[in-house]
Amino acid sequence: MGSRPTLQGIARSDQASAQPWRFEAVNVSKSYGAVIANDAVSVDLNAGEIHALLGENGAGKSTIMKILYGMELPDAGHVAIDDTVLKIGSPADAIAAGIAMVHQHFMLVPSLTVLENLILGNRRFGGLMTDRRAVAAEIAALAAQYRIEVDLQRPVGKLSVGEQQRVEILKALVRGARVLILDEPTAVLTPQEIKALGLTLRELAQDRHGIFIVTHKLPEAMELSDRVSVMRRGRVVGTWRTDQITSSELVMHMVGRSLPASVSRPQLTPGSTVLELLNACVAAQAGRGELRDINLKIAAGEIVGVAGVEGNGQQELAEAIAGLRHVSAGDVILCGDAITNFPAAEILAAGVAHIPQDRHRDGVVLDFPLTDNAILVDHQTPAFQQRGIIDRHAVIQFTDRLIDVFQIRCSGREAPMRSLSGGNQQKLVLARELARRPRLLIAVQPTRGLDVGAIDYVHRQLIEQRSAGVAILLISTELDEIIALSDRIVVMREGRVTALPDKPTIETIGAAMLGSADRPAGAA
Amino acid sequence: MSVHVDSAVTERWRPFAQGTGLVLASMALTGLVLLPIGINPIGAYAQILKGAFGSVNALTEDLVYATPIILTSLSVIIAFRCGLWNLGSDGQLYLGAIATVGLGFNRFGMLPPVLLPVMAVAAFAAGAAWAAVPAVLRLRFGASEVIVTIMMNFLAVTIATYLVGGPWASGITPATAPIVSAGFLPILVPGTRLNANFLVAIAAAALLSFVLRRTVFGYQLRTIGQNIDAARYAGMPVNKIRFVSFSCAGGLAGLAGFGEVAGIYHNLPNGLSPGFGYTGIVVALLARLNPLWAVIVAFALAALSVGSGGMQRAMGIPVSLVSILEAVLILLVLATRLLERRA
Repeated sequence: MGSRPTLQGIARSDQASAQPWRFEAVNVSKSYGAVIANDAVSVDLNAGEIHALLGENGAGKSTIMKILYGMELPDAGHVAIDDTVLKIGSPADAIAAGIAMVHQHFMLVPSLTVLENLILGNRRFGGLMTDRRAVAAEIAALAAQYRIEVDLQRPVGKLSVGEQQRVEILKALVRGARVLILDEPTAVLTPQEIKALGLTLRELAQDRHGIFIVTHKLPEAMELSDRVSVMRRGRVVGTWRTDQITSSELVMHMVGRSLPASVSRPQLTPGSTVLELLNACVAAQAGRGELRDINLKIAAGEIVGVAGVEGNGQQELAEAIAGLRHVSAGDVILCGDAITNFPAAEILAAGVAHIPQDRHRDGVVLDFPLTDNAILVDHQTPAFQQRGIIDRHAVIQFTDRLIDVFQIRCSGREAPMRSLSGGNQQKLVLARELARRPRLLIAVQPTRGLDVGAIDYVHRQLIEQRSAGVAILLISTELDEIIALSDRIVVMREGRVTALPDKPTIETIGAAMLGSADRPAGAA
Repeated sequence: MSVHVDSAVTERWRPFAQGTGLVLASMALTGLVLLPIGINPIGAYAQILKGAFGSVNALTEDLVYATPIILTSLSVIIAFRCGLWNLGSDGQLYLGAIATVGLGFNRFGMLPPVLLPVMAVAAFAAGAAWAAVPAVLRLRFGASEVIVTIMMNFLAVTIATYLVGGPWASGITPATAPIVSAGFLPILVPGTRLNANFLVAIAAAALLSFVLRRTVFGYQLRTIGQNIDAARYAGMPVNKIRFVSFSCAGGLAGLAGFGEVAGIYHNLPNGLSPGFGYTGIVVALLARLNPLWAVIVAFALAALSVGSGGMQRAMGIPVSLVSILEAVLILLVLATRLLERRA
C-alpha cells in the first residue's frame, strides 16, 4: 500500500485495535450554486468513539458525511487520517481506506440472501470457487462478535428494516471498515431496534472502531454518543463531550441565538380573524406524523410563528390548511367560512398562498421554463387563461415582472428552472406566492438554504406582507427567525400546539420544544 | 439574446438531426449483417429508397402506412407526457377497428353522411374505453399500466380473431364480411389507397401539439408528467387528468383502427395490425414525445417499411431485414437516451 494511509492497514497489523488513530475533516467547504452547504467545517473522530452530528435538516450534516465518504468532493479543505491528507475521490476510495457508510436508504439486493449481499462485489470472496461454508462461518463469527443478530440465509427482501440495517453494518465490517458513518440510523427503527443498535455500536467502539452518527433527533444523540457536534446553516456551532452538556443547551445551539433581529416590525393592530383552526386533527399515515386537537387563530396583519424541533407536525399543519392532508376531525375556517377538506385548488383560490417546505419537490417543475413555473398555482385564473387557452402574452409579462421585482438571476424567462441556483429557485416560489396577494400566507422554512442576504430579503418581504394585512403562518425551526418576525409564538411538539408563558424567552420556548423542563444529560 | 435564439433553434432541430443520425447508424450496423451473406447493403438500401419514393404509388403508400403509426405514436405521447406508459395502442387499435366494422355493417340503417362520423366517434370511444380499464386499475389500485396494457393487447387480438372466425365471418377469406360502401373513407389520390384518415392523423397531431403547448389542460397534463408532487401542491385534479389523458390515448389508437377498416380493408381481416402500436412507441421516443415530430418520424419509418417491399421484389432479400433495422434503431435510441441522462 506504500505510504498511502489507510485505517485497514492499521487494523490489520497485529496489535490492530490497540493502535489509536484520528480521522478528521479540516475546514471543508462545499456549495451548490448559491447554497452554501458546508462552510469551513471541521469534525474529527478518534478510535473507539461514537460522535453524533446533530442538526436540523439542511444544516449541512449529510454534505460533510458525503464528503468523508467520497460521494462529493469538497470545494476547499481536506480529509485526513493522523494528520496525513487522504485523497478520497469516490466511495471506492473510501472503502479502500476503511471508511464505510450506512445510508438512510439501504443499498441491498432484495432477492439475494444476506450472505450473498455481503459477499457481492467483494474481491476477497470473489471468483467461482468461493467456499460458501467457510465464508459463512467467518461472517457469522464476525456478527456474533458485535452482537449483530441476523440470519445469513434469508433473502434480504424478507427482512425488517432494522434487520436490513444490521446487514448494512455487517457489510461494512466484512469490508474491513474501521470508520462507520450512519446516516439517520434511527429514523426507521422501532424503540427495541434502537436499543439493539446501541449495543452493537457500543461493541464496535470498544473494539476501536470509530462511528459517526448523523441525526436530527436529540434524545438519540444524547443516548448513543460520546461526543456531539451541532451543525447549523452549514457551520459547526460547537463540539462537546456528551456527558458535559444538557439537552436544552444543545437545542439552543441547534436553533441558534446568534442572528441579530435585523428587521424592524412596525406597530400594527391586528385586523379580523383570517384563519381559525378548531380542534383540528390529522390522522397519522405511513411515515407521516399526526396532528392532535390544534386550536390556532391568525388575524389579518399578524404573523404567528410556529417553533418546534423538526418533525413534530409542522409540515402536517401546513398541508392540512392547504388541503393537501385529510383533516380527520375538527374545522379549518378561513375568513368565517369552513374550508375543511376542500380540494386544494379551492383553498388556493380562496386566498391561501403556500410556500412549501420542500420547494424542490413540491414548489417547482425543474424541467419547465420560468414562465410555466410562474403560473403553477394560478394557471386557472382569468388573468392567465381564457376559455382554457393559456394567454402566453400575459404569462410572459407576469414572469418578466417577477424576475424584475425579485431580481431573480437567470438567463431568461425561457430558461429551465433546473438551470437556476437554489436561492433563485426559491425566490421564484416566493415571488409567485406573494404576487397572488393572498389573505393567508403559509411560509414553511422560508429561508432554509439561503445565504444571509437572501434571508434578510425574505424577512423584509414577510414584514411587508404583514403591513399589507396578510395573515401569516410562519413555520420555522430557526428560533431567531420566529422571534424576530412573529407577533405571537406557539410551539409544536408531538403533533400538538403547546402553550407558552406570556412573555416567552428563548429559554421558555426551548423548554416547550423539548417537552418538560430540562432533562438530565444521557436520559432518553 | 441572439445566442439564446440560436440555441433555441438548434434545440428545435435536434430531434431531426439525432433521428437522422440514428437511422444512418442503424443502417450501417445492419449492413454489417448483410455483408457476410453476400448482399451489398448499399444496393439493398438503394432499392429501399426506390421502393419508397420511386413512384406516386410508392409515395402514397408511405403515407397510407404512416397514418396508423402517427395515431398510435400520438397515443403513446399523450399518455407519456402525463407520466403514464401506454403500451396498449395495438389493442386499442383493434377495439377501434371492431367498433368500426360493427357499425359499418349498418344494421341500424344510418344515412350515409351520418355513418362515417358515427363510426369514427365509436372507434375513438371503443379505444378510449379499452384504455380506461388499465387507467382505472392504475389510478385506483396502483396496478402497473405497463403490464395491464400489454396483457389487454392479447385480449383485443383474441376478440378480433373470434369475431373474424365466428359471428362476423365472411365465410370466404380470413376476414369479416365487408362494411357497406357508405362507410368507406374518401380516397384522396384516385387510384391509390391514400384515404381521408391521413388528414385525420395530421389534424390530430396538430391538435395535440396545440393542446399540450397552449391550453390549461395540456399545461396540467405536462406538469403531472414532470412533477406530480408540484401538480398536487398546485391543486390540480391529478387523477382526473391522468384518466382523461390515458383514455384519449386509447381513443387516438382507436382512430387508427377506424382508418384501417374504413379506409383500407373495408372489413376486419385477421392480423389487422402488423404491430402499429409498438412502432408507435418507437416513433414517440424518437420524436422526443413531440406530436409534430412524430408525424415526420412516422413517415420515415413507414417509407422504410414500404421501401423494403420493393427491395424484396428486386433483390430477393427478406423484408425481415427491416425488422432487424428497426430493432437496431430502438437499441440505439435507448442507448442514446441513457448516455444523455448520464451527461
